[in-house]
Amino acid sequence: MSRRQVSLELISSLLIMLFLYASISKFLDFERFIHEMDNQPLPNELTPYLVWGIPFLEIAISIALIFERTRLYGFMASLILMILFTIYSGTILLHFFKYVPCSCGGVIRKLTWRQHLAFNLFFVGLSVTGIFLQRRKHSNPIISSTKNILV
Amino acid sequence: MKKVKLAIITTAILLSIGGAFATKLNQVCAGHPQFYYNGSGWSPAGTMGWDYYCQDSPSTCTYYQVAGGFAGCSQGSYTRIFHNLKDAPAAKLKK
Repeated sequence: MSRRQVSLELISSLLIMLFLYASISKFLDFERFIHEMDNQPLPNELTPYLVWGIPFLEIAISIALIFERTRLYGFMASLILMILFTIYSGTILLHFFKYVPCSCGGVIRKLTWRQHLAFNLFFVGLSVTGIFLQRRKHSNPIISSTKNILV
Repeated sequence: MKKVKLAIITTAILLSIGGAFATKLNQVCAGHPQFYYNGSGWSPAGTMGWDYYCQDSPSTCTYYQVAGGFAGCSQGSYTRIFHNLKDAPAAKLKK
C-alpha cells in the first residue's frame, strides 16, 4: 500500500468520522436540533429542509467516501459543504447577523465560533488534499495499476 | 491492501457511531428540567434553542436539580430568546 493510498484512506476516514458523527448526533437529539436550527439567523421557513437535508447530505457524503468509484465526488461534496459551513462561521464571527446563535452538534456544540472556524478550515484543507491525491491517482492509471501489480 | 482499507474504514464508522451514542449518554443531565440563576433565585430555563440559548462563555449556563440543590449542566451565558420584539427588555424600556 503506497504512502499516497494510506493518506487517502486516512483523509477519507477522518471525513467519514466527522460527517457520520455529526449526522447521527443530530438524529439522536432531533428535537433539540430543530430548535437550534430555528435559533439560527436564517429564515425559519428553511428549517424543515435544513433539518432533514443536512444530516442526509452528511450521510450521503460518508457513503460516497467509502467507495473508490465515488470517492472523488465525496471529497468535492465535502469541500463544498465545509466551505459553506466556514463562510457561515465567518459571518457569525464578523457579527453579520443581529445575534450570535449557539454552535451546535454533539461534542462540536462545545466549540466556540472561533474554534468552529479553525475546525472547519482544517477539514476544508483535508478535502482539498483528498481531491488532489485522488485526482493524481487517477491521472496516472498505468503507474498506479503497475504499482498494484508490483505490490 | 483491501483488508487494510476495510479495517480503516470500519474503525472510522464504528468510532463515529459509538462516539455519537457516547455523547448522547454523556448528556444525561440535559434530559432533566433545566434552571438558570436569575440573580436572586432559580427560574425554569425553558426549551434550549427556543426559549434560550447558551452564548459562548466559560460560565455555567443552565443547572438541573440534584439532591440538596442544583448542579451545572451546560456551559455558556444564559441568553433569553424573544420571539416577539415587544417582549424584549430593550423594547419595554423605551416605553
